[in-house]
Amino acid sequence: MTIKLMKLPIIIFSTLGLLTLISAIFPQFLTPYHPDEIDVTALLQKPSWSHPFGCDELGTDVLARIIYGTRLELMVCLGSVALASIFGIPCGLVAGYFGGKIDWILTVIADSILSFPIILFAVLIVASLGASVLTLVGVLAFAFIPRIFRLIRGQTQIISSLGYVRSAEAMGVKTVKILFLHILPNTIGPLMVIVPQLMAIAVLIEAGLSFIGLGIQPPQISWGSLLLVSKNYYVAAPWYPLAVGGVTTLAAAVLVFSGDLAGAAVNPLRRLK
Amino acid sequence: MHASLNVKAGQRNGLIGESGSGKSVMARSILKLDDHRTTIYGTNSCIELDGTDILKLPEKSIGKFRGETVSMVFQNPMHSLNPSFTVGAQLRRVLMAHRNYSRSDSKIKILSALKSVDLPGVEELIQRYPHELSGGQCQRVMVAMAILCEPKLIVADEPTSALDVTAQDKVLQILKKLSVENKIAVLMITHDMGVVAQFCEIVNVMYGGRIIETADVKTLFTKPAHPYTAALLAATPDPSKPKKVFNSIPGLQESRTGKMSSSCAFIKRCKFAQPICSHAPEFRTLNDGQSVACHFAGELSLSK
Amino acid sequence: MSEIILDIKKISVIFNKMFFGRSQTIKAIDNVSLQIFNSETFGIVGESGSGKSTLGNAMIGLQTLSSGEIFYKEIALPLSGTKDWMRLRRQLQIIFQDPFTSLNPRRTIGQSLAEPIITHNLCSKNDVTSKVLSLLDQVGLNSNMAERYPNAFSGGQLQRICIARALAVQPQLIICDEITSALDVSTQAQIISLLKDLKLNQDLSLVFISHDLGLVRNIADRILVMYLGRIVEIGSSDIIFSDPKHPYTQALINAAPIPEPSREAARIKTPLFGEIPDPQNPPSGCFFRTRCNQVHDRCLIETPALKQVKKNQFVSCHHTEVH
Repeated sequence: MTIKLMKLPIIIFSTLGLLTLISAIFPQFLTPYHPDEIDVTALLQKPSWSHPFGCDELGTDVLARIIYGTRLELMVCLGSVALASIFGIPCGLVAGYFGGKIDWILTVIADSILSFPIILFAVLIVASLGASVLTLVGVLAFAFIPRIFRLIRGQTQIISSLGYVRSAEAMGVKTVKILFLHILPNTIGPLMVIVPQLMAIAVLIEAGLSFIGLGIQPPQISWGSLLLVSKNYYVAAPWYPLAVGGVTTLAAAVLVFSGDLAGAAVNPLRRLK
Repeated sequence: MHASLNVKAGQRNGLIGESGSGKSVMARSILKLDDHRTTIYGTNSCIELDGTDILKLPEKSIGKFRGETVSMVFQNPMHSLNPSFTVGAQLRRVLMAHRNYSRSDSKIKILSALKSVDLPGVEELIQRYPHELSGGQCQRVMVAMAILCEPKLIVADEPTSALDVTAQDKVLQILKKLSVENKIAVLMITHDMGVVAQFCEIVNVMYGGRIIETADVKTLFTKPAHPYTAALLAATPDPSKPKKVFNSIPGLQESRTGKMSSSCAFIKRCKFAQPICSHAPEFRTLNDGQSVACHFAGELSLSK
Repeated sequence: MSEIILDIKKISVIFNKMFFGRSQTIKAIDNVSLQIFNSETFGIVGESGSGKSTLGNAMIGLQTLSSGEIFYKEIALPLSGTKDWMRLRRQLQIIFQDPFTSLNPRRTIGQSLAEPIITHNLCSKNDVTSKVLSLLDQVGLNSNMAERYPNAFSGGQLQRICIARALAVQPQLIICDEITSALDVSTQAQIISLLKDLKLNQDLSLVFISHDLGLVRNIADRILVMYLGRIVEIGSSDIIFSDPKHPYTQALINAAPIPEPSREAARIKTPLFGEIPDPQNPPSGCFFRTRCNQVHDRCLIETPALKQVKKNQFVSCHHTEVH
């Protein structure tokens, strides 16, 4: 019975995921308009069947701009989480498995990064290094490393005491193999919960930074840069900022929820029979 | 599950079975602790406590039975007590839920209950938190809690399987003493034949959701009438006897999803199985108060 | 007497824990010496916290010693990473208590069983599969089970697979750490018979750690009784069970129920009073003196040494001299 109940959200979330992927790779399939097409006859046009979210100050279809903005958005999300995982996962495995001094040093470093507010940190770095997609990815990754590290470290500590790891030790299996073959695959569940949550944070921070002009700069399109422009028209064309803000919020919410779902889906106790 | 069982006043009853036999479901359903959305009681089901069928009672009035007529002792004593409250506070809460005592009266009552389970330094003990006690002490506190409201029946669900032998011995002796002195009936649910031998007067053996044999403890151990009971006895190691050949039961207890099968639950593992065993056997009473659900009850030579 | 395969000399294991800046030390094993002989079954009994599992881990080199030495056939157990380490890993194996966490849930049974074979290059790549199948057969499981994941099995089946994995390297000694305590009685009997059969067919010593005295008596040739990390009594299983000398061993055997109602009812039960002392703050002299009913002054001051009382029985109690 639980399986049937689980199916509906899986369908919804995978459809949304597919839509995101298509808009990032082949945005032209989803909208007939070009995001830079200027149409002076349609300045700040109200939503209609042909322009569901209306048009912006240059007469460009807002939906088209949102769809074309997905690519950078996704790059920032995935890039930052991937980069953070590359550093966070091995550090977490080593700290959790060996313990002792290495663990102490890594944990102190991670905690000091964690104690710094992300936004403030991002503002400082972007202000000094200049705003670009790469800086944004780097800053977010840096902020995410300790979060991934802590999760992997905790999981590793638990799994290290389990019979299959200790049997592998008794068997003389190489430590690297123990870490990546026995421990890492069994941390995937909790990792799948936290990754979409981090991606949601990435979406929101990108929007926030771009909104104050420190993120992605126009003419590059991202949801944050759209938000920055659209706020000027909130009286004349309220649907414009609403559409952009709504999509951003919805994306973040969907990501958070899909984390729990993904975590349940990869649980070996349910899946592999 | 399909089982009948009766416990007489003051009697120490045992319910023995392996994991998956349904013995814990049985225990919980006596207090109706099961989730009412997933547990379905058959139309003919009846759980009669002290003359009242609790299945027909509304949920609200069952609370009065829990603790007052029947109380329960669970397997893991460390998880049964709330770590955030002192022992005394938890015992007082149980007492206050059922009795209208003054503060000083309830303290006297609590102290005497703790003394009756042979705990030393009770005045100091009620100020302490569960984590400061050992597993054996926690379980004795649970027993004290179970007798606080002078119940007629204590359902003990594997009360000693998380304990060391010495602590187990103590808990069993205390339960036995309380049962005899206060005429409290006990339903001891366990998988350990040793516990049954030490504690029980009447034993019910459960397999595959059914009670398959009921007998007084001496008869059951000397003249088991069901092949499963005999196999269980043969598989139990005895610390007073040197090495012996273990006679294990082949195969596994099957999981029981869907409908109850119409054959004897033990058919696949029974070495005496015959074609007739594809029909579930009736529960038959042999002489000397032994009841067995087996087509060949009394005909098989099963004693050791 | 047959050959000594494991010689444990005066080992101690001390755990240090930092708690809010204060360091707490727990002596999990305190000056334990013993020998394990070739193809014997050696039982270790004791209550929880007696250090029996730590001793089991130490015996195969998985636990760092604070002092003392362990020799396997005259080779000192090396620390991990050395050349001898890999060789020892083929000789000394361990099986754990909980079968449900003893196998990686993300690997098939076949993969788990192939791991020791591949790690130690026990056969050519083409023969790995057939070796895995013969291992499964050895512990009485079907060959089609190799494809499945651990969650498809019952506890007893998983424990069989763990036995098969330990056997894969053809070890000399297997530590069985409470391997049946998570299982039902009938499954336990199956596992015990399996171990006994396997022992008959090969040169194998077992160290059987358990809190179930009946089980230990049934399988062990010699037993060790532990209390708070120290040896209480050690010797032939039959002698100790029929004539225990140490008051703790006596209490332990007295507390274990006999599965025969008439004989159980006829016994005089003398339960132990008190609780196991705090291992961080153990009593002076004999550790058991706080619960012993025959203490005298000497027990408060002096730690009793292990003394031989019979051909195959050693006891650490001051009273044994009086006997």
